[in-house]
Amino acid sequence: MFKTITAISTPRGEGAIGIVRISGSDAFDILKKIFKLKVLTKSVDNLKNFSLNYGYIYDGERLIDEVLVAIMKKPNTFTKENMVEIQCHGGFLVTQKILEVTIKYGAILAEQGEFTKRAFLNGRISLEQAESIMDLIHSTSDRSMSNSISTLQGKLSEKISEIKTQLLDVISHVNVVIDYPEEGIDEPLPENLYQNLGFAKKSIESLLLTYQKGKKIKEGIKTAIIGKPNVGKSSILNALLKEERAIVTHIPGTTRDIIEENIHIHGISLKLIDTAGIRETDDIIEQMGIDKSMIALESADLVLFIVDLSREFETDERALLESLDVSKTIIVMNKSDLKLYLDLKLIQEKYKKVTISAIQENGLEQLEKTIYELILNEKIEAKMDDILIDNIRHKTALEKSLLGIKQVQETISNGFPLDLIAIDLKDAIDGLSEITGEITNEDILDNIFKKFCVGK
Amino acid sequence: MTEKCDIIVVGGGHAGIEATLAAARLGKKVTLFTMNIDCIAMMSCNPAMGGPGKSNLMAETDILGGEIAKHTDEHNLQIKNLNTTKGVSSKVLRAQADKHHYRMKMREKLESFSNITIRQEIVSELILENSTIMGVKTEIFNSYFALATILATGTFLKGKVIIGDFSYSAGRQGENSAEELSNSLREHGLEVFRFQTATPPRISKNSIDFSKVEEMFGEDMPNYFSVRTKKDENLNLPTWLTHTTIETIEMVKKNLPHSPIVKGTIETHGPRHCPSIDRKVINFPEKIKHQIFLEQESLESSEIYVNGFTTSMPAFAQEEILKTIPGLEKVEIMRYGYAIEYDYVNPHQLKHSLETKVIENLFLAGQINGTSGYEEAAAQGLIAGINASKKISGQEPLILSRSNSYIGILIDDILTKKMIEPYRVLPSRSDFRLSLRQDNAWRRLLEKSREAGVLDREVLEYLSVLDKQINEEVKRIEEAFIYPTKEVNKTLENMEEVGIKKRISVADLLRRESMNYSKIEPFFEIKEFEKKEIEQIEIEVKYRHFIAKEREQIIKIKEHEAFLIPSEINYDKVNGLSNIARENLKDVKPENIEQVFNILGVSIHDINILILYIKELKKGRLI
Repeated sequence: MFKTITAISTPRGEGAIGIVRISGSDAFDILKKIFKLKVLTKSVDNLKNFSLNYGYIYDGERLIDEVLVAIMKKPNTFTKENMVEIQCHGGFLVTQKILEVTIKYGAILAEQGEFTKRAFLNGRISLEQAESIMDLIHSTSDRSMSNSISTLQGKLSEKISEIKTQLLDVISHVNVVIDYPEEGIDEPLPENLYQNLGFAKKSIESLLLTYQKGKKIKEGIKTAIIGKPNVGKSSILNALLKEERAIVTHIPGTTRDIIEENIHIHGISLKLIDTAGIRETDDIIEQMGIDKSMIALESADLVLFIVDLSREFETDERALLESLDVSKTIIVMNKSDLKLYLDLKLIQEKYKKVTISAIQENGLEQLEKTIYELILNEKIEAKMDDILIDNIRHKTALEKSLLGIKQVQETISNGFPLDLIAIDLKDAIDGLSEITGEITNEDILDNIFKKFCVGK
Repeated sequence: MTEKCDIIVVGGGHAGIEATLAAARLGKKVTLFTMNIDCIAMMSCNPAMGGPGKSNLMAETDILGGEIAKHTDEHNLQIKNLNTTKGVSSKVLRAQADKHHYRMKMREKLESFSNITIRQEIVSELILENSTIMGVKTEIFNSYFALATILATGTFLKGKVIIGDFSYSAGRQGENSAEELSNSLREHGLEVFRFQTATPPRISKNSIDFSKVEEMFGEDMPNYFSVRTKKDENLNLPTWLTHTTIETIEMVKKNLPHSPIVKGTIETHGPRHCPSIDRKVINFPEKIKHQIFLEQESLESSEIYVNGFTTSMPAFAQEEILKTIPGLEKVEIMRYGYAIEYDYVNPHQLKHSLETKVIENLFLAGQINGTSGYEEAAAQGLIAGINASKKISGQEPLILSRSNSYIGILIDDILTKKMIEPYRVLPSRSDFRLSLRQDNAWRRLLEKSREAGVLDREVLEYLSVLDKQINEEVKRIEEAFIYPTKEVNKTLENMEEVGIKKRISVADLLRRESMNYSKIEPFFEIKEFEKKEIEQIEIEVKYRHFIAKEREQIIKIKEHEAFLIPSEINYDKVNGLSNIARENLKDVKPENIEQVFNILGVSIHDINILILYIKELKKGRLI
């Protein structure tokens, strides 16, 4: 049996409520020592399963906070152990105090991810699901959430098993002719092996292609808004924010000069970075801000380059535009509500362009659409439930498998014999096995007996 | 009467022989019990020795001091190279042994040892004292005492022969069974289960129409199983190939209602790798043409083994079906095919030394451990013989691993995996088949052989010298270079080889498909070596990259072996394990994580749980 663990489950810092979570066989005993019910006629001993109970947390005689306590009895809990969740007033000090009391009365401090580890160790979830839960916690967008959930449902496993079966068929055929040379079973033709491997290779490649996309979706797309001073950067930011007001998260900027905001466009999370206006300056403080802008620009996945339609296109603006990576830049031509002074011919065809008026909120929808299509390189209508690889472990394993397949193909092309093909093939299969379950030799043997009539 | 010796061996089959000889060579006084002295070293089923995996076992047994490889080299009708085009790791030999000579000469060999006593008696009971075996009792009320006992009983424990609806107790067709001994095993805590195996009919050579069958020869100048064999010529008598026809399949189908496996007379598991003709038709009804090999059993007999036609159908059906096969229209059956059911002991009750966990100084080898095959039996017999000797001398046992031998794989598999059928070694059971080749068995087990101590010192020292020379020569080839001079390219051109544009190593040149050691002479000072040395040098150089890759995988295994499982672990408390994994873990009691990988029913998920659980345990996060 595992020791009883405790941890603060809400983010550190100020919040409306904080939650301290306890899991383990002693969870209720510990609660009994620190919790008094508001209604004194009821006893902490026989609280109902899945009930929410109002009362107070004490450290001995000393009152700490007024709380709601959720009771969850094993085995139908997240960890399959007895669990208690103490919902207290948010704030660093109160939650910390309650955590300390739970430790004082018998719990030990949980390590990172230990609740999920317990869920895994107690057989509630698979390793893959555990990873997905971590991803879900860390996901910042709807699309990423839906991706984690579909992993939870085993879609990835299904896809991997499919590929694995293709490889298994190849290796079975190789093995059967090595294991049973006098059975009159035809040797696999190199070109057929090559082709069958090609199918598996293609499937893995297309899964891997989703990784960059998946990663971006999971982490949010770093979007730099740049332009000369007063072209309307802040108003564009505000206009975009207005659209999604309900789910905006304010992240305090790390510097005074760069403000980060999160917005969601069609299920994708964008981290908008409003930079200081870029221009030649002698002002040291302003120059520092501009330097930071340039750094933000370099690390950005997406650049919104704002120009003012009501002004001439200046030389340094042109130079800045030239220095940008076309594939990740959208030129946002603002102030369409004013008289046009900008010579549109100066902005080349190769750029994606959107005309808007931030003040009048015109063209914002088009801007969002352009952003989405640039990032995902797909139409907005794309399905939400496609598999995306957004986990580095999965990616590494798939790459290993892909490399294995490529080596097998090379081995075949070089005319090497069957047993060497089998060695590389094993690498390819191992890669996939790292993601889901396993292929043991026993499986290969079973497959042989299913597919071929062998033995004398 | 009572008698005392060092080691008792029960059973004179391929396991018992190796056990007896190994112990005798280690200086022990051995008594070998057999039910019929004339049947020592009998090959109960086909005349073939070797084949994929099995060849490797024979070569490994040979370098450790076993007899099977040398004896097969000496008493065979044909040796054939198999898998010649599938790569160096797949290359193996298969011999057609001369069953009669094999048997007679093996008996002579045993009789030539002054410290071996052979007794024709049926062992019926174990004599134990405090869970340690002291000796055995026989049916005629004799008691024999020894420091250790090895059981190699084959199919004789409560053996039951089945032909159609007819069945009788027998250890082999026409021989007695041992009815008492497995009761005694059970009484003393060994778990006894039943398996089944079968053999095809033997027909008269004179009844075959040879105009309708294809002659198949072996090699005129074959390689041999034993690294010690020095033979200038070998017999190369043919076997013959024919096929089943549509009429055969129809006839099998017609007779299926009489098949014991259809009627349910046989419920025990037989080997899937050796399916009966009934089973082939049931599982693959659409396949018409199954190969049938006709194999001569001995120069001294005209019996022909009908390979591919295993069956326990009633006598009339066997005859009807055989007659549909081209060449066998007028077949005369000399012995009918039959199935045999027998007792075996749960091998999970064994240690890697093949000593039982339950009874001290009792060792088991061969079919009693649920395996099938002469080679598998011989390998275990050798290990049991060595380890029984070591045990009574107070020495550490000889343990082979999955990464150095097929013997290691065989023992590890039967100790950890669920036995669903009689176990046979196959190349696909190995994760490192490029390293575990037949040709290099003598090199990879040189050190282990020194540890075993059975093989002649002189032979070992001689082979050690060869091994060292090979390593040095490989290094010399890897470190020598040739340069794109005019002469070099001219020479290459004369050899019809592609020229070189930059400096390459001699090894790179040798790695070319068309190259061999003697062909590099114009560029490199080659030396005089034995044939087997040159073979090793070429393989090591040519397959260096692949071998290196396998070595990396072997290192991973070593890490798993180093992750020890605390003996105090209680699997019932590891909640996340699947039930089957938990049961099998409790059953096998693995010592490290590597062993867990080989336990059937334990998935990667279970292994992850176990690893994490053990880490938590070691961190002290468990109550």
